[in-house]
Amino acid sequence: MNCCSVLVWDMERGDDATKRNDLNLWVQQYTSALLVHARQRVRKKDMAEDLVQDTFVAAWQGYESFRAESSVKTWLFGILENKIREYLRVVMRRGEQTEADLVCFSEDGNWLPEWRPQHWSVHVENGIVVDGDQHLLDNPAFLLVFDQCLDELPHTAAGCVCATYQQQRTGKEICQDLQIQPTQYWQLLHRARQQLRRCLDLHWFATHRHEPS
Amino acid sequence: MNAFLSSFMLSCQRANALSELRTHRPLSLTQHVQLRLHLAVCSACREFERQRHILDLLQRQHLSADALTQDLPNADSRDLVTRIQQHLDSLPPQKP
Repeated sequence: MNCCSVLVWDMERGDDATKRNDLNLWVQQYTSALLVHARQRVRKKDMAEDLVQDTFVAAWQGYESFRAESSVKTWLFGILENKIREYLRVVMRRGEQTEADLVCFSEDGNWLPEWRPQHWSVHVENGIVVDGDQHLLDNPAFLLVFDQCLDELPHTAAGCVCATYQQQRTGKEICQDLQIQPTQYWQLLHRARQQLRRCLDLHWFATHRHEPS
Repeated sequence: MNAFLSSFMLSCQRANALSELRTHRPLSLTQHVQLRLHLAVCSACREFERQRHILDLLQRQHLSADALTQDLPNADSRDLVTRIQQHLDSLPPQKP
């Protein structure tokens, strides 16, 4: 009796060690790939990191349910994807209540001065944005500003933008996924657009406006 | 005539709303004409339309999945690896 319970205890402890070992290895192997994916979907660095950590905690808790016939990577990405959806749905619900509308127009319907579009000294050639004789997206200084502006979007708008521009999915699919109404979705995209436009204007185009092109 | 025209002319805000609407469903003929008219006379809203197109291209090209995979600094994920490992180590063994 006694020896059996020692044996069981020993096996459990052995399992725990294997589990810790496996998890440690997986964290080393897959964190980077998972983080890239999470950052693509939610944009916010802190949030993406938390989601990856949650993924491994869930993997830890569900370790016994993992079956070797699927690859570890696929399994982990599946967990992460669920975590991302959960997170975005919560963000959307909360955002609807807390985020104030952007006001870009005066009461009589004119652009407010700070929102009024100023000329951007770039043009479009064959679907590419060109600045002088350079592709704008090839300019590292611009990319830095662009990324910062994207990072400053509210969580809700960032989620919509990422879903729209990365995954090439239809508005309808995205709405189902995020559990929001189409009107809210369009409002968020609109909001993202105005805010990005303003941010790029302030931090890029305004400073390049007076340079000879 | 003037009163008729001005009731037909859109404010920038209204024009903006219509041009937003146009991205997800077709406008009615009246709406279409109203928007065209407004854009014909309003340089700010014309520039807005241009910027919308530019932003759309920039986002599509910059956020596409392949564009993003390259630019993650390694140090970022190294710190995170350590953080997660420490967190997992702190979890108690689970009861089966």
